[in-house]
Amino acid sequence: MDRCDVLLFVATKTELEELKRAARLRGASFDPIPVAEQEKQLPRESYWLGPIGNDRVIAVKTRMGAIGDGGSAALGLHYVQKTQATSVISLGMAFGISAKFQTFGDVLVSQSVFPYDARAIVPDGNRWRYDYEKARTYKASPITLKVLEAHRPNVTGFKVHPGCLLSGNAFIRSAAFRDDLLRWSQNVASTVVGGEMEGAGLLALAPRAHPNWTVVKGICDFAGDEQKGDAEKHRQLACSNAATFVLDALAQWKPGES
Amino acid sequence: MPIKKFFDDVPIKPLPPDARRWSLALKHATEHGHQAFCRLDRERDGLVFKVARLFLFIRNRGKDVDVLDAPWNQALHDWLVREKVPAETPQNEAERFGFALKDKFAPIELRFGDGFFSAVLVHFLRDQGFDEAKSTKEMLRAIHESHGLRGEHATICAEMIDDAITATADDLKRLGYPEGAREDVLAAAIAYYLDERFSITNGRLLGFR
Repeated sequence: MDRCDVLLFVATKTELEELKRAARLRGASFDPIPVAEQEKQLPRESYWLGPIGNDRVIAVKTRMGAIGDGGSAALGLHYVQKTQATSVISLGMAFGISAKFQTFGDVLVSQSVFPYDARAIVPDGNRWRYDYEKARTYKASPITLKVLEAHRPNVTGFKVHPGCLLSGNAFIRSAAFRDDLLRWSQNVASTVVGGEMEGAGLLALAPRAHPNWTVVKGICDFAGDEQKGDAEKHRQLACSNAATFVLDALAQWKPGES
Repeated sequence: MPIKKFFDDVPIKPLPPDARRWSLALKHATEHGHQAFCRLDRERDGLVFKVARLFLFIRNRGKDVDVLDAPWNQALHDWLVREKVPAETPQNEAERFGFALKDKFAPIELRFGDGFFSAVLVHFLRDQGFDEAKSTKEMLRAIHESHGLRGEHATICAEMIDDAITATADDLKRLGYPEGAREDVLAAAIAYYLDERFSITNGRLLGFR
């Protein structure tokens, strides 16, 4: 029970509960994995889902964001080494960028992640400005993306938006900031579809040329000024759709078919 | 020693899996004097695109004799080019080659970083006259001007971009497009790539442009 192929990361209670619900509905177990004595200094909880399709799957609950001893970076490194997983998928909820083209519960798939904090701040007259000229996006695991893309046409009930996810440790609750971020990133990131907080931590898990991670998140809000209520109202649907999409994609993947 | 078998002579498998299937249809078409065309099917769906697929049509006097399709993959596209199978229309040809540029440019982006690559790419395209071609002119106009990048890295990056575009131009020549038409398809392919790379249509849809 300590080796797996795929690690599913969640960061909040709702994300964990909805993953558990989706797993059990599909006949998977969700048994807590005992924490070894030498590991107890780190915050962690993990669950054995068993085989799904061709993969053995473990779920891990991290803290929100990339930073800290319980964040996605620290626990990602720990669990990849411990489980020898070859794929890490961060599941849960995210913000969308346009209520006109997206809706609550739609699922965002990271073809790439743009860690928007990795930028230069340069003088601009008496003030300053962000400079993204040397910024980078990071491509997600092509193997996992292929599995998810193969399942995309089968999805009903919500839409799947593959593209770039903005990632950083900030809670964004400002439509003006979100739109500025989109403008600033347009020469760097292609087809931005949303943003979230844990993806940036996963960039530590593998060399940039050989990513082993992917972020799959449901839209719970649009990072607008007054949308705290939206997030609370739609988080369950967002988390449920993301978990459902990934578990079904893993279960239905037929290697070599495409 | 079982390991020895890996060094035994093995039959050459030059074709990607889908192409092995498609090659039979193409052989049949050639033998019967039918024509072969392909199509990239990649429908816009809001801010993103539906799953991309490649189709192969075998036609006899304007009627489809056989239609095969598979999810997009670069190896299959390369094989179609090797077999000199053009797209149905120059517009779809541009979309097919524009989409393929993503894979061609990916190693350059990976090596130099997106912001640096973008700046060099835009500078290179303007320098090579794409700011005067009909389809790329509007796209390049919509892209924010970056600072000119100089130095060895910028030179190498530009050379790699040049190689990728030259390889695309070679493919278009192989497909038999005449002079004039092939330049238009190449520029339209680059415009297709730029649109997505710099979120130009998406920017318009979101009201940013």
